Amino acid sequence: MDCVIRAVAIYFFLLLIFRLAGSRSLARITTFDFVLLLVIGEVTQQALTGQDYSVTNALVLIITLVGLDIALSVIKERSPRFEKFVDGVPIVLIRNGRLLEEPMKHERVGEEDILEFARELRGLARLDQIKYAVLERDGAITIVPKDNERRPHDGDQPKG
Amino acid sequence: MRHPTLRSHFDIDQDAHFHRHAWIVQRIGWTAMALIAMAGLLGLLGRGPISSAAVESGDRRIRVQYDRFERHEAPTTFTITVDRRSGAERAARVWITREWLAGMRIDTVTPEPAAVEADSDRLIYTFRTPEPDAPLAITFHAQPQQIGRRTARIGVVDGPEIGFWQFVYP
Repeated sequence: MDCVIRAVAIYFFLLLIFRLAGSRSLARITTFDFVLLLVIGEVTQQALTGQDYSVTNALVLIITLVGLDIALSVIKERSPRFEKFVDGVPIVLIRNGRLLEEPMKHERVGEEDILEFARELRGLARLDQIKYAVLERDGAITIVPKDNERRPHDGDQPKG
Repeated sequence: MRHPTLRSHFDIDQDAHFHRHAWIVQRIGWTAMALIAMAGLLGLLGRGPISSAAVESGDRRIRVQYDRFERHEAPTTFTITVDRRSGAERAARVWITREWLAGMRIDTVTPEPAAVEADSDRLIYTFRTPEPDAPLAITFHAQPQQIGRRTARIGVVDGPEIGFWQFVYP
């Protein structure tokens, strides 16, 4: 009984903590973030298993955690409001080539971060080549280049 | 009819029939998972409301609280309560079958027994008590070491005895 309750408590606690931490912080994992994740995993493992190292305990814990994830995904599918609450919403950081300072400040995203994604995803070199930049729910930044910066295979229709 | 150029546009090996079957299997799996989690919550797979049990002798002189469902090497407790109504002596003597104890690692016994003697098929624990008539509750902290169904007999020396079974999950 207690292992199922522990799993549910840990699941929702982690969900809350990572939601409060914001989408940015774990999207681009630095070495330190990675170490931190490992430590969190270790601590969580202690809390979940306690002194019960039986196979049954492991199976029940895994089934409870994965089951919660499935249940949440089903609820999210049915209730967009709940999905917003759990996953957040995308935020526009650059609109029509103009940097939006407020969302950038709140989401702790700098110009450098946007440029990094712009280089990586689109091969763009300057901010003025970007039409839209969006911080997605998973913490990644997607870039829509200005029309004249598009490469021929970017759009649906190749330009003549 | 398959359009000959369709594959060249989007080269993908899609099998709608297979997907439909996979979805059905997935739903069945979800139901099974929900049932297992529910069983865990109720105590069918370890400690919990369904698992906790107690047996008592007909004359109520001995009572054992234990868990029907245990897990291999997971810490557990069982409590033996002895009511010595007729006992004028300041000791309680309780025996447990060795066959059952062989599959248990007893970590601690509270209160500590004054003596433990070995019979051919049982262990006899002697506990000293300050008052001769008060009921005595003895708690064993243990870890099951054997997997499967196991039966125990516990009794008071020269008195009633009781039996029960447990199931230890791997």
